[in-house]
Amino acid sequence: MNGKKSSSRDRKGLSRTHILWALLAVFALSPAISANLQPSRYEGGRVKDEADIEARNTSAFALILGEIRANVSDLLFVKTELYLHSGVAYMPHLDYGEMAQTGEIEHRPAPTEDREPGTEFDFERHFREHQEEVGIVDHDDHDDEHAPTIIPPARQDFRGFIGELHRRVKPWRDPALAHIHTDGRELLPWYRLMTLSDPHHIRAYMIGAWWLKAQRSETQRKEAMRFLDEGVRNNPTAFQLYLMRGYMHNEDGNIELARDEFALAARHAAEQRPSQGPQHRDWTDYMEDDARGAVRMHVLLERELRNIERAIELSREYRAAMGEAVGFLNRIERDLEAMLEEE
Amino acid sequence: MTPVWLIARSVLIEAVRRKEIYAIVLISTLLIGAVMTVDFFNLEGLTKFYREVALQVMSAATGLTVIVLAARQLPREFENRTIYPLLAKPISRLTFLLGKLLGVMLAAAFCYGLFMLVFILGTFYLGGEIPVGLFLQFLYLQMLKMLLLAALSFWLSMVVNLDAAIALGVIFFFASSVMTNAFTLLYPFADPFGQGTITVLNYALPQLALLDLTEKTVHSEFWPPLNLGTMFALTAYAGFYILVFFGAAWYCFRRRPL
Repeated sequence: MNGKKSSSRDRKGLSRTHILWALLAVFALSPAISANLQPSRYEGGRVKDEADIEARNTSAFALILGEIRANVSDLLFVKTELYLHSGVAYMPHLDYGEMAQTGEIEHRPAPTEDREPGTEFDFERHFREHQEEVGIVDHDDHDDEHAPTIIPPARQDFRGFIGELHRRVKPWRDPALAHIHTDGRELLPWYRLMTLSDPHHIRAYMIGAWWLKAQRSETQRKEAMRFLDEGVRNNPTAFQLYLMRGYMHNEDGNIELARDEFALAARHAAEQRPSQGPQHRDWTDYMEDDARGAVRMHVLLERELRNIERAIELSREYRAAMGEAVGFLNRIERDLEAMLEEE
Repeated sequence: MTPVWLIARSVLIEAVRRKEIYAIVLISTLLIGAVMTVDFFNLEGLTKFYREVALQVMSAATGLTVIVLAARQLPREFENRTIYPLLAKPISRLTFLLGKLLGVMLAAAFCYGLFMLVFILGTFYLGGEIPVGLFLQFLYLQMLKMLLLAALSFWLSMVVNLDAAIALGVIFFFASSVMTNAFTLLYPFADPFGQGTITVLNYALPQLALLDLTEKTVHSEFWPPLNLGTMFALTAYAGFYILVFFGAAWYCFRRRPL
């Protein structure tokens, strides 16, 4: 009897051990499996088209699963807010459009207000401003510093001593005080994961590239360009990514390469821009600003390369395609015509 | 050796011999190692990301180990009938239960010790620093949390079957921090009855989020260690629930016919 019992126990133990080793083997082999995954083939995730979003939101799966389907990439974006605020959990309040466009954090006035299109991408200015915003800096001049915290202040908290302990244990700062912003360096792994999770997360590519550039090293500058290249490969029609690449080439003095990137950015922007411009629900002020910037830079770089006739031709084409939105081209075109006459 | 220590030692030896702890530590270490090998734009010294992933994985793995280990202690003694010779000796049921609890906590400490070794080596490998004060407080609060989970699992294993006890323990463990935030977010939108219910739940349910210093440890450059008063309050808070759950487990265990 005892012998039978013990052999039965041995068999049980043996099978558990086998299962454990099999699981460990599968885990160890998982990199080999993931190495063959091609994220760009993934078509879901954060879609930019409102019609697609609506179709997804009204699908049976969406209705059944509700918020659970919110993708990992978007959740990671929330994580970056925590890191930016040294762990303090504020209600989501950052203007990601602004971050993607300029690398700056916090709320800003709409970019089309009183700004010459194209000039907002003065990298030196942005770096100077960015430098003010990285490190441990109290921001007294921001209009979002009263964004509420997830953990409420004592005056709004019904939880008594539990609320008090919660505020002491978790990173917490009175929402009435200015925010403390951190260096974006530690955010970069999250942007990497975001784009691995959702290769169509264009803003993650843009903001990630900004933070990489802000590291001010040649290696990271190359990494930023590589990151943008990957973004373009996965999103061949994302004109903002071409625009960013154009500015980087321009900074490096590669004018012809920059011109080509601006040309692509402007072409895609002109194709995608709805006739109503920012009045259309899918076309934001930031997209409008980027589109105008792309057009302006394309024309200006043709001028810089002394292709004056081509620059005039392009200016006319863009004015015909985008109308009032690129009204600033009138002045540039007059200058170009004057230059042509002088020549 | 005291009976409590003898029982505790047998629990620890069994836990170590069964090699489950090693498997959990190994799998978690592989996961953490995989995170360390990812190249994030050729950047060096990105320790926050590592710290966050490592501490979360370690806490989750140790929490699950404690729940499973604690929940099966008493039912298995009854099932295998090993409790009868033990209780035939001059050992009270309280002593028996205390020994079991101590044994589970020793196993948790052993598990956490292995993790800490991995964590500290990983941090130094990445060129990071360990915020000693906050880190020690983090460890202390983690152990308090594990003690609370062990006491809860003992009680659950006495009132429901083993599978249900493990399932409930795991659900509570993972839902606890969500629950804490849900209370504050839902309260303003609730009607007076709902607000009353939330208030009662706020005080009745132990909130494990209060015993989790992970976020401050990750962003340690901005946050000093907690003061002694806060640590004492947290100990008292956890101690209250540990006593309640352990007392309930003891009560059920005493009434259980052999």
